[in-house]
Amino acid sequence: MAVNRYTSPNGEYGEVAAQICKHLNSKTPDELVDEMADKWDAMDENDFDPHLIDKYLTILDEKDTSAADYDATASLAVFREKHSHFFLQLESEVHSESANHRRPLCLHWRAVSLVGIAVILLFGCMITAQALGLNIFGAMARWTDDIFRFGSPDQTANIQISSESTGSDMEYSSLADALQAYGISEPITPNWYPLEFSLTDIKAMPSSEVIKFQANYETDNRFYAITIRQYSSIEDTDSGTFEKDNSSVIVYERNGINHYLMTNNGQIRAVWINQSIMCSISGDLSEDELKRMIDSIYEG
Amino acid sequence: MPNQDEWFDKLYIQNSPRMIKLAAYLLRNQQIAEELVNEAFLILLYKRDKLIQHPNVQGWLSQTLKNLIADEIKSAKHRLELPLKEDIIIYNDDLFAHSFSELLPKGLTQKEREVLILYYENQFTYEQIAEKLHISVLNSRTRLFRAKKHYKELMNKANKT
Repeated sequence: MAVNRYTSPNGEYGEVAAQICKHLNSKTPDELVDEMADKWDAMDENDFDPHLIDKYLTILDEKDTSAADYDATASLAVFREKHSHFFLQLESEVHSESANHRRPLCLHWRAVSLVGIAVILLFGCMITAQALGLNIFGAMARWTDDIFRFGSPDQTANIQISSESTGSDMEYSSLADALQAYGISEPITPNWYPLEFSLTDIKAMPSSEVIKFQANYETDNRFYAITIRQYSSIEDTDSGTFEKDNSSVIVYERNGINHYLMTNNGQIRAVWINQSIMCSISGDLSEDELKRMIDSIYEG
Repeated sequence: MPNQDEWFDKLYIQNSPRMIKLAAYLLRNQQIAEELVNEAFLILLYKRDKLIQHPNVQGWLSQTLKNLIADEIKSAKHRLELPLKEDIIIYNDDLFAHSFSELLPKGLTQKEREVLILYYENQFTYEQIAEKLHISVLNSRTRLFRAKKHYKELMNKANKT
């Protein structure tokens, strides 16, 4: 077995190691990935075996020469740069703690001012991040070339969103009626719609964790839909993911809420979160039509 | 108590290569893998006061990454059940005239077709897929995730020709 950064530093020798190596080498990359996933899934926090995982990764790297190289030191520098405001806050907390230990009276004010500066910087960065599309105080919006998602940093627990229905799907004559039936009073529905489209149907689909409303509109060969998901809590809105193409995401702020406009397969979509409600409008619309619909939500 | 900066840096340097490779192979997406690993370390930072005394931070990082991968895949499920389009009902093509497997592009592997059919046509859950194929639940999630990605790549290629 080749020696590289994935080789166990303790090493394994002898017949057992040779047999493991032979077993892994006989597998295709897909089989190795499957087997590695199974082994990893069977480990928990206490019995995680990094050496076993490293064995699989070593063989996979040998079989898949297209795998990207990775520089941990450079990556750490980028990570620190990206989260510099947070590291600054940590430093100021440490400084204020150690200062209080040494000279509690004289350095008290210095610690307060350090914390104060850190807080100002932290909020300054958060506000800047807010403007860039990061709703730090709620869900964080992130996107790559092909995926847009909402997600918060603290996601150590799986969010079990059940699709189990808790009632039959209901049809309504207007979106406002549907929302009102479930006690939703937040301003989330447009008051202006492109005139050439006709409403085809509106449904409310309740389940144990989320109530989903969908209104479909069509004209000739063009369609669009308004989808609203009311979750049990704000934290559950962190599960929204949407496909997109590699065009830029436009952040359109109205009424203090960021509406994220993106395209996929020639169609446009706007997604946003209002409290525990995730909303989207998507389909064969122009950007101007979509913005006008968004504006009308808050114009009453 | 160890210096927290040094403690964090050491953990990052030692564990991030493995974590990124692991996630990248499972998801076939280097960018998402790096994002998820960075998220795991960000959570570590948020919880550093407790975790600095943790008996097995490496195991904690592993479990956190596993949960983040599962969340990432599960959150993709919240798009509508159709593989590619969200919020759109297709009226102008009679899809019921063809079986689901006939609609899948030819470049998919047998395993990819199998998991897509089980999930989309048979409406199996991840747990049911795992039981049917004798694999772990994590494996059923990541296998489906990779199959959907490959499907999309094939469809994009077909649309361009």
